[in-house]
Amino acid sequence: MQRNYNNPRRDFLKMIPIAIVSISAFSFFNFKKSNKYSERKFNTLSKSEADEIIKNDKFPVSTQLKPAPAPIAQINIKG
Amino acid sequence: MQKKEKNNSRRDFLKKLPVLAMGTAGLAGCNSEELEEFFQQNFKTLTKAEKDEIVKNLEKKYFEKYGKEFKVSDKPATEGILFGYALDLSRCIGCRRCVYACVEENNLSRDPQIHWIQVLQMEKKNGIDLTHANIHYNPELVPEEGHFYMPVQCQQCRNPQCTTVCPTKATWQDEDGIVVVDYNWCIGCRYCMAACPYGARHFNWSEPNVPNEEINTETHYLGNRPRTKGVVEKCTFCIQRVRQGKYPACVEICPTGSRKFGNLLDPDSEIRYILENKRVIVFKEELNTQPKFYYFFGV
Repeated sequence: MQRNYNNPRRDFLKMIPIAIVSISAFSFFNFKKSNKYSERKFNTLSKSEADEIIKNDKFPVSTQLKPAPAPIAQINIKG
Repeated sequence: MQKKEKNNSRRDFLKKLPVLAMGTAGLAGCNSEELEEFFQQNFKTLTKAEKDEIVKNLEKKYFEKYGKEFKVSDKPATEGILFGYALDLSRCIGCRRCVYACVEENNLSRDPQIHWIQVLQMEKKNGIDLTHANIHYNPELVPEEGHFYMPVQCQQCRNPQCTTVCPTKATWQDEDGIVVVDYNWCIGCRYCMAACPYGARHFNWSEPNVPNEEINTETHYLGNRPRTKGVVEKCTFCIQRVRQGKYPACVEICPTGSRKFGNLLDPDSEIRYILENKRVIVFKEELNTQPKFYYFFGV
């Protein structure tokens, strides 16, 4: 007589190490493909810090020019 | 009740004949180049010979349409190059020279108007406040008292949402970091426009209108070649120029030198100097799109 070996919990647990191994392998490939420079950290200025610089008017500009014509019917980017 | 058998192959055949005839007539109406264009594979999957053939056909087509010799490049990204852009907010005066240099260089439609660069005017007292930004300012002279200017264009994100949502994979990020569009594959669904948080993508609602005498014939397949109605377009950092070692048109024209461009992988480049020595603003950083377009204060 044939025995029934259908044990979904055991099957699931067996698959976990395989899944971990394959996920790590694929993430390695992804990492290899990604650009190296994105791993580097650089100093970002937060919005509040930028706002402070702007509000305190720390960059007066002396150059003045006539602007080119304003766009017609373009939609403004919104926050 | 027994179901009636309806297997009448002669009737079926006769029914399909008009459809077949219409299909044949439709195909016969197209010339071989149109058919080839229609059945063209995704640009990324094409061989060098296939690309050359497509480019040759396009040059021929543009010559017939505009009466000018076009050069359509398909130059791929160079290894070891990742383009980045920086904009000095303390120098920008909002003169819009960059906007019109971009229009001329990239064959943007004059009417209806498409601008890949939008210059936002904001009040200094409010800081970076997009809800009160104005792109239609038109004073005698800029900069206006109490205002600053923030040009916005495609941020060439490292994690671009526009490419993720494209159902036909007509847009993707090339190896040098430029997000490009294959106009032959774009179906004009505008999902990418909805996904872009920077409003950097523009749709051709009608046939683009570029005066024949102003058309730029130095083009790139993924960049400034003439577009058609129903496709989406965007800034490509002037792919036709930067892949030849030149600066983008907006960088060259800027009268105050507020625009900086270069290779992020080159430790001696100006862009790397800025990133390593200045504090930069990443626009809408909270969205994790990881732009390669940085704003900074030079002063």
